[in-house]
Amino acid sequence: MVDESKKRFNVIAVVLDGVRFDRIKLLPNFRKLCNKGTLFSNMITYAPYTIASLHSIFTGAYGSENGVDNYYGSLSYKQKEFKTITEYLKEQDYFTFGDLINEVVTPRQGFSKLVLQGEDYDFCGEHKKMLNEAKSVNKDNKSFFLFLHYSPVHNSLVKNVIKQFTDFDKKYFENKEGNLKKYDSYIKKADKYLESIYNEIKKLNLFENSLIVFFSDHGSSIGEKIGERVYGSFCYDHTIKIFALFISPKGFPVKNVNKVTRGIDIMPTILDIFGIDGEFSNKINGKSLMPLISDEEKEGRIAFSETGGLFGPYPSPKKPNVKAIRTQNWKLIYNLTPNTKELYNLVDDPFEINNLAGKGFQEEKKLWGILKSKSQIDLIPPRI
Amino acid sequence: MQIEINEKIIDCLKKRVDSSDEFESVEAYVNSIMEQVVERLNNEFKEENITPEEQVYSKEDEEKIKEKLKDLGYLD
Repeated sequence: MVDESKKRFNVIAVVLDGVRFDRIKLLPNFRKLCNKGTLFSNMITYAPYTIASLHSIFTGAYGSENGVDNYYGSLSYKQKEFKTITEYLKEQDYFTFGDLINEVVTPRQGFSKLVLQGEDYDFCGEHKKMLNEAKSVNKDNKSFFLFLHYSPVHNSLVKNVIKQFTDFDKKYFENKEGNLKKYDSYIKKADKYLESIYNEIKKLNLFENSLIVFFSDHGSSIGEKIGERVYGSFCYDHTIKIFALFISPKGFPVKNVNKVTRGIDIMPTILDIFGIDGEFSNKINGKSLMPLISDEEKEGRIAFSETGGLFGPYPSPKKPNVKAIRTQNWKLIYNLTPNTKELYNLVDDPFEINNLAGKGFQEEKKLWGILKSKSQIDLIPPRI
Repeated sequence: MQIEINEKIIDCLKKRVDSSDEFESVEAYVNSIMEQVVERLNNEFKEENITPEEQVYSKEDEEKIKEKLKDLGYLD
């Protein structure tokens, strides 16, 4: 069923690939945008790398359910059992288009038109062109779904970190200050991009009849934990913490929701506000974020994340080898290899340094129970 | 069938059982470990003996993905 009063709203979704909330929140254009809508500032991604993260966001389902739970996973995506937000909107007669960094990163199902980003891709210029194309479609009274993938932060990390250092390179891990400075320089460009896109949306008068969602897909390390030079190996907050900012004339007041939410909640929120009943809605693990805006829902949600580095250890890279449950104040991490647990009190220890596992905290047992229910744990229980 | 287990191992498992509510006895803990080891061995066997029909994607597809992961800068 489509809510007639809302069905003509366009959707502009902009993903800022690899952008950490704790860094972008310091920058002026992002802050300006935060004063225009509802920010979910404590959102957790299912996976700290783009392929599994975007598949989970597009389907509203964990990768352990939709098949994309590893770097090779896009070929295992269960497209007959899940539907993407693009497909739902296409069924509502939306013109669906966007751009991709690479064919395996974003689920392509439901897109009427896709642009593949090439080398020297001019993100601001190309995305402005796409906004203009969207506007011309909209003039004919056809709504559109536009997905813009801003990937220069990823590209800079590849060039300046992945290609220069190993996951155990002392030179990198001993230079956190320098790494942060470089990372911030990439984020500054992302902030400039936001200004440019915002101005174009304003110029085209698209604010009045669109829902705009700015979000990130994962964070990035600047050398916090040896063994992970960028992202994708572990489930610490600096890589699993993301954000989503919803801007729309209806339903999204200026507000910061700091309760734990999940990347998988973005898609069911869009379905909810447009009154779309999902054909496969029983497969959706996420829930609409609207009750958190109205304070009808008082508690933060429980987020499940998992990952597996491209170079192992077992059972990665074909299966995740690190699993985590994150609540408002606590996190339990389970490392399948070498079969260990980590428990962190995120209020006292936001940088996850002091491992409290095995020290008799009730939360460990509680979170372990939740983790086992979310994911099949088929290895020997952690060592004594 | 009776199986003898080294006393050092029994002591170690007993400590774990006593310090956690997860298992009621050393026997339950040993059974749980063995069940999981057998399951893992079975899974490994299945993976090694997978037939082309059972394979989710082909070797060629996997190579294509590797190329895409190289393009993304994740693999050399």
